[in-house]
Amino acid sequence: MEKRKFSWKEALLLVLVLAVAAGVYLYAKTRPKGAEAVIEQDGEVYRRVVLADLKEPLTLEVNGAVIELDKDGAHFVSSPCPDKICVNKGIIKRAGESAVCLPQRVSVRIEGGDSEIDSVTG
Amino acid sequence: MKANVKRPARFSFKTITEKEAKHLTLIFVAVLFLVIVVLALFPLLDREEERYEVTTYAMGSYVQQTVYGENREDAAVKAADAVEALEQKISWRVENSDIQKLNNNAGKDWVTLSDETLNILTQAQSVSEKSGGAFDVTIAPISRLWDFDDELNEVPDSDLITSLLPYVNHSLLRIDETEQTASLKNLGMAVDLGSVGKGAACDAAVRAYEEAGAKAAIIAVGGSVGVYGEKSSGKPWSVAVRDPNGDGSLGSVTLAEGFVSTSGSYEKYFEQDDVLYHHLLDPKTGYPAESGLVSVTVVAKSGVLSDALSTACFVLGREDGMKLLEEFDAEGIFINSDNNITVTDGLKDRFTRTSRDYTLVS
Repeated sequence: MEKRKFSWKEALLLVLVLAVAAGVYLYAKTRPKGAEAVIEQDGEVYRRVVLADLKEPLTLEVNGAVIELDKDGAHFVSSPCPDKICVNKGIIKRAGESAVCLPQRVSVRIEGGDSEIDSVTG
Repeated sequence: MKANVKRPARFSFKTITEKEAKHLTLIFVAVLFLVIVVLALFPLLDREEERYEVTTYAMGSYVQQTVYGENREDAAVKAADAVEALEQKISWRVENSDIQKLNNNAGKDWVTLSDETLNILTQAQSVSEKSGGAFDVTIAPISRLWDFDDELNEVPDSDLITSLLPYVNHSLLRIDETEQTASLKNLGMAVDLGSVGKGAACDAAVRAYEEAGAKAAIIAVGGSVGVYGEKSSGKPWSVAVRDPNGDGSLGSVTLAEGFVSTSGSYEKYFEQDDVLYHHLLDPKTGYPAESGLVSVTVVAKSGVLSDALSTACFVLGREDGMKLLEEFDAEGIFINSDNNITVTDGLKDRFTRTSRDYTLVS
């Protein structure tokens, strides 16, 4: 019988490499995506921004309303609306939270992240 | 493994027999196969449920929907349409709406109403009655006087309030369910469904989800929330309760079905001469209710009920509010001005406090 060069160590190493590869793959797939700010105008998604990816604050103007986003959350900086409810709402950061400017029909809401909140009352 | 290895197994570079090699290959292949199977199945196990999220505007508020299921987009559109159609029926501001017709015929005649309006009116009336008028569906003369939606922000003349109070009396609203009609007995009376409109919109949306065959959905109209169906995860819906004093939420409540509404003095208010005037009016005094509460959240089996009950509870205060909730088989969360939270027994296991600024009391 001919003897082959094949060691336990090699086999173990191969299995290990495979296991690590699978592990990395699974981790990448399951890793919770950071909270995402969804800016909508009149029922249409205007833009989605993954907050954790923001290295510096991002300012957007949507239908006259100015929204600032950074890695800690989003808020209305200003709006031409009369009531300023959107601006007074302050910073929103947790999934499920939203700030809405009714007169300008602009809204920002936080989606995803590790929160399991589906909606907000109040 | 060891049993099949003839020589003592030690980890060292060495040549192995063919049998051992075969054995190893087998293990190797088995592991590989397992990994492949896991990878192939993973997307199925993990598949994030497809959902459709949309924000529209109706009822003077935002309408936020998250809908699951194959026809999610279609269901969301139908729900949004249903909310708009409802507004045309129940807003006293809309020309020729059911409620405008009813109000215009106050002191004159009975008016035939649509099924939907009649149903909302009946539910609102039952809360008016059982709350002893703490919630009054005929508050329109007073609520229009204050008009928290305008930008005037002035406390109305006290004589004017006093003179209009007699026109707020739900017992003079008569509903004939068999004839599908209703009437306001005296001239000058009027119905205002504004305080239950958002909840009614949630009811209409949930009906639309059901008709459209959506799998699961959640809708928020202003601060009123309605849920339909069950998410794939099987987890109940989780609804955050807004912090009356801050930006975020103070906790959350889970529910498998039903409707949640909140009445809080922080929602609409203005300040005059260093006094805060909020929009939750006491129908008995004609002034903002003072019951020591800053916010009441109610979970009920319809949106109209959760809206009406949260308003009634805010006006009644904690003790009487809890008794009222029992009559409607509803649950509630009461938050007073000392940052104390009281949760009804049926909701204790489903409420989680997340803010340390508040204390749970029993």
